[in-house]
Amino acid sequence: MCTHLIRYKYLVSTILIIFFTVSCTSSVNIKPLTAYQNGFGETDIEHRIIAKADNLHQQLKNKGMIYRDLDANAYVDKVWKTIRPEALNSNIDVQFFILKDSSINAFALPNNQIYLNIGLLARITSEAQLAYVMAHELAHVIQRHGYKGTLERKSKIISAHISDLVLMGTGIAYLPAMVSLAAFTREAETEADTYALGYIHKAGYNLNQVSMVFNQVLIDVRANQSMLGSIYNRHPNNKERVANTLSLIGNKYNFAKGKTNEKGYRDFRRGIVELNIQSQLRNGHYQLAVEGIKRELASLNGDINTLLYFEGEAYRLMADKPSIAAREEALLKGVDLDDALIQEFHDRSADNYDKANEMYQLALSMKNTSPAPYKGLGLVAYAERDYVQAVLNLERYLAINSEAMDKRYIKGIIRKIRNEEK
Amino acid sequence: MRLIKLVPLILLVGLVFIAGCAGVTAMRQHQDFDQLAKHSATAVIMPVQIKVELLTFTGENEKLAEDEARLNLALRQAIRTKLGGTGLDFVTFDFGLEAQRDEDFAFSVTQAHEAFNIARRELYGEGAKEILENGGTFNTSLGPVLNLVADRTGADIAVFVRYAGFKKSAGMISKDIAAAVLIGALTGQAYMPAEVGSKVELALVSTNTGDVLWTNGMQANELSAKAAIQALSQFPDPQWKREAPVY
Repeated sequence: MCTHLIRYKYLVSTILIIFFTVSCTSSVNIKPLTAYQNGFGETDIEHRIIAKADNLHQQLKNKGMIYRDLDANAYVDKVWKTIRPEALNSNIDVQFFILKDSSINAFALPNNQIYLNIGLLARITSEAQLAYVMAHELAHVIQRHGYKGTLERKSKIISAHISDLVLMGTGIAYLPAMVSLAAFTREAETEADTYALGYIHKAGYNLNQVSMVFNQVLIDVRANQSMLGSIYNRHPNNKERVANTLSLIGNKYNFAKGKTNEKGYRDFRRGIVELNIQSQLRNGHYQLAVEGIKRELASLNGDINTLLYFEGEAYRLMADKPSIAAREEALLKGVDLDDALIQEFHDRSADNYDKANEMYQLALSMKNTSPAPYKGLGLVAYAERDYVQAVLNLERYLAINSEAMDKRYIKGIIRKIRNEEK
Repeated sequence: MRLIKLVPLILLVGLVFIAGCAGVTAMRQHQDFDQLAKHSATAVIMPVQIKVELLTFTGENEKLAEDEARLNLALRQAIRTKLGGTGLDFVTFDFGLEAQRDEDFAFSVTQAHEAFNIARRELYGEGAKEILENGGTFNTSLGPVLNLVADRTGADIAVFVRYAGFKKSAGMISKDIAAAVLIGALTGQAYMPAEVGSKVELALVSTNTGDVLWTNGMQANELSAKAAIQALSQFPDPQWKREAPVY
């Protein structure tokens, strides 16, 4: 009994010492980019990190993920020039790219390249908000958080491995390392928020728009952060973040008003919104797509006919893929994905097909020469085994749109129907 | 985000621990497989999604580019040999070159991979129970995303390959040995985790209708095409059509 107690005490003390040691492993001091005249990259480790980032950019390019719209890129470039801090030497370049990714995210790489996802750009509504998002990522680049984070992680992990050995491979030692790394990340995010406000204030943007970024973006992220893997989920507690930033806007900048430019931003995001909805539909984010479409319809943005068709597509896919729709529901509502939930979506299929048809018909009532809603009607009819209507609508789609990119798919379905009819 | 990056590796290592050398069969076959095969004559191998890493003591895992290149070739060879043996003709197509020439095509390939990821969830994730109740048959489709691939390559079938592998550095192995010795001294039973492991998933998808015809996955305690060969050994012997339908 006594021996057990001693062993127990030894174990607890060891764990506590390890927790302390791993948490306290210190990081190296790295100068911000503004302290450099001609770029950066002094150590072998940093060169390796930069090479990895360059490699990631090449991969994104090879996957066709970079959005290449000249007007949109020029718009982002204009905002970048507006927020660029004077302290940053003109020899140092930072590049912004729009990424065809529907997650609500933006991120900076250690090679000074910043990526703005279409999912985020579709969610915000003014140039001032865009400026804040860009300024936040820019602050990460200037403060070299990516590089610091890598070094921090490396030192913590080595300590954790050694401690893990003392704890006989139980894995307990990795917990303090993770906690400590999360704390580093939170500090970096808060620092980036603070610098970002300074940059956009100097550029003359309306600081009150920042709270709208929080209201519009963070609420969405809170609901689906695990699904979308958003960078915003690693920010300090969102409520705390909003409070800190708003207090800074009030105390330091006295709620400074300035330019917002909603009109310019609306034009910029038009093509991005459609691309984002298509990406959401491909990735099983049906409810998010519907919410986005409804927002666009309510604000009379975009082509109504196309938006109605997309809404129909979201309902059709929910009915076609009930297990995927159930997964989205579980993530959005933070509930377990179980058989009952999947069954619920199976049971809703007929309703969802009806909703889809309603949207397609509505789209056609606005423009009956639009081919896509006929395809939607045909696919719903096919799913419901109404083969006459299916063939009728699918053939009408092909007749209006003989060069359709998906004509093989549509002809394949017509062929399947013919086979079944035989 | 970086911590999240570690999760797939931890899961992979865990899976290989659990599975050991014996592969876990995960074969699935479309309910209309024979019918779909009759309309297919040619195939193209999609860009292999491959990730092989050296797990290091510093946590700064290294991409093993040479191993990836070697395995890429070995996997392609294994697929061509096995499926070619069933009478399927393989189209040679340089996806990398075409992607450089046309970023829209590159993105359509990315979209196809995205759609395949959704299909995987239907096949192995939340939709798996229903499939197993149906004896492993299903009717999952990727939709029209592969139509552009069909236009450019002329292939009726796209073969998807996902491969993930790891090798441990000397430092990591030493740490495992030391931990095993300590545990052994304490409990009298030692366990030595795998030093190398891999997991492969293969799928044949119609480029015209998007139907997933057949899919399988395997694991192995080595970095080779062995798991792929084992997975392909369960492929049925279909009657491919020599004259594909004109689209």
